[in-house]
Amino acid sequence: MALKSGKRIFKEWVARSGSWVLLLGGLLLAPSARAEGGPSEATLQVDESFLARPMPLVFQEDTVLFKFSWLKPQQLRLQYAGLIGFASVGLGYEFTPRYSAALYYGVLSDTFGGSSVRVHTVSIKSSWRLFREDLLGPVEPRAGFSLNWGNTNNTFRRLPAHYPEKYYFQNKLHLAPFWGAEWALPLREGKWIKGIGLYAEMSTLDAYVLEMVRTRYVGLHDIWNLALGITLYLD
Amino acid sequence: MGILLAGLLLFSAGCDNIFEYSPYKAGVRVPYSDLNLKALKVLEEQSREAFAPFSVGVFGDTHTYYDDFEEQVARFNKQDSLAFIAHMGDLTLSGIYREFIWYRKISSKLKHPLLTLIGNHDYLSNGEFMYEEMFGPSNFTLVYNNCLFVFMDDIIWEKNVQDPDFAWLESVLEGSEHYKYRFVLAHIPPWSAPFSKGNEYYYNMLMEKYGVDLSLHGHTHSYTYGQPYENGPPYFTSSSSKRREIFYLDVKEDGFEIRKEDI
Ligand SMILES: [Fe+2]
Repeated sequence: MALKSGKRIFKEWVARSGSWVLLLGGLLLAPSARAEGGPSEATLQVDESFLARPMPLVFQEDTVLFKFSWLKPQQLRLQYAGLIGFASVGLGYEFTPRYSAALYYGVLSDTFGGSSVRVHTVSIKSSWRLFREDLLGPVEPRAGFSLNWGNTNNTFRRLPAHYPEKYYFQNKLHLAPFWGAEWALPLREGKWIKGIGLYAEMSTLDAYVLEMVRTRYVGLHDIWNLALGITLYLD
Repeated sequence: MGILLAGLLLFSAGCDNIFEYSPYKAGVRVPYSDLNLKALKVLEEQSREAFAPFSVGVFGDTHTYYDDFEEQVARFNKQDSLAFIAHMGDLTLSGIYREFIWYRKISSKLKHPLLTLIGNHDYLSNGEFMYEEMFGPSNFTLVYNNCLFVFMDDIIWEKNVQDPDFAWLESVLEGSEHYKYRFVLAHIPPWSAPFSKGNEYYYNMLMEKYGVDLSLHGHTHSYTYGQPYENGPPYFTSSSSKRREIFYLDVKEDGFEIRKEDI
């Protein structure tokens, strides 16, 4: 029996294409945010190779110059646990001094995590620095959310045709809020790595938060899990 | 950072699984395995050779109605003389790992043996595998005080439109005439949409053919009892936890009875 409840209302909001357009749009528009600030000095000094050649792109009515070199990540991340697999690798992008985003791919299988099933997860993580840079020395508290797209058995975005409409809610995409901190170490001698960071994050899932709100049984202590990771800051 | 990490760890000390690889995880590796098989073993030892009256607690579709579910458990625990409790399936909402663990945590407080059927929601994501590891095979039978209980997995759509295993059902009902009563328990009642007309007819035909005394179901989220078909046994459906009811099947010398109790 399909349930009609607050969960549906909440999850429908999460899954409504409009909210995704907003979130993904934020990511897509991030390069334009950079463009507004003007290309950094480093970009200007690079020779005019294909990657560095400005390419006009039109976002609504604004034309911005897009360069493929901007796709080059500023961070490489390696994460243990955190709802997106036993282990995951990520490419990180620093869009503003406060906002960064990362694209992760994580795996859970018999070999990686001792699960009898195989789960592939693609995740886009948005995180915001909570305090001004250097306020807490090398420690950077941050918070944000991930959009996790999980691929395994019996998960779907659109219900298979044999179900009546709205029999189930989609169970492939989940919103996962998190908070945590990174401890950053600059490396002077590094050839292509200018720093290394160790991070720890507590995260939860939309479904768990909803049960916490909806029931007395699920409490604030029941919904969190810990992820540990390493960030390599690329030169 | 050290203080922060220590804080993080302290905060999460309450969680028994601080690292969570995926909500779709299966492969339990916790002390929760083969729960149905273990309960069946206990019941086989308790059971008598000859018929003797007994009562069974029945509920289902607990989903994530955890507060109501807890109260149902407490109410069942006020009864001293229940042979066992049958959960009619849909113990989760999305078949994800934590929902199975929450179900286990609440139901482990039951003082009576518990047998858990699989429901359609429990097949979502990797729930099917989680169920098998936690409880055992999804089709099983029990003979208690010379009465036959058949627990059948009749999930169809979530198995990519697969007909219920009628061959298995027939194999366990065949030659069951010598039992005092025959009860069949399955999550979805045959008149519900996942059953095709043919499957609906066939299910009731088997009930009639083998003299099944009562067919018990969940799925509809509301309590019904009646004889929907011209031939065949009476059918019972249990309500969801949200309705705040529990049921008893009283099996007596001169018949059986379904009793509803409000909480
Ligand atoms: Fe249900």
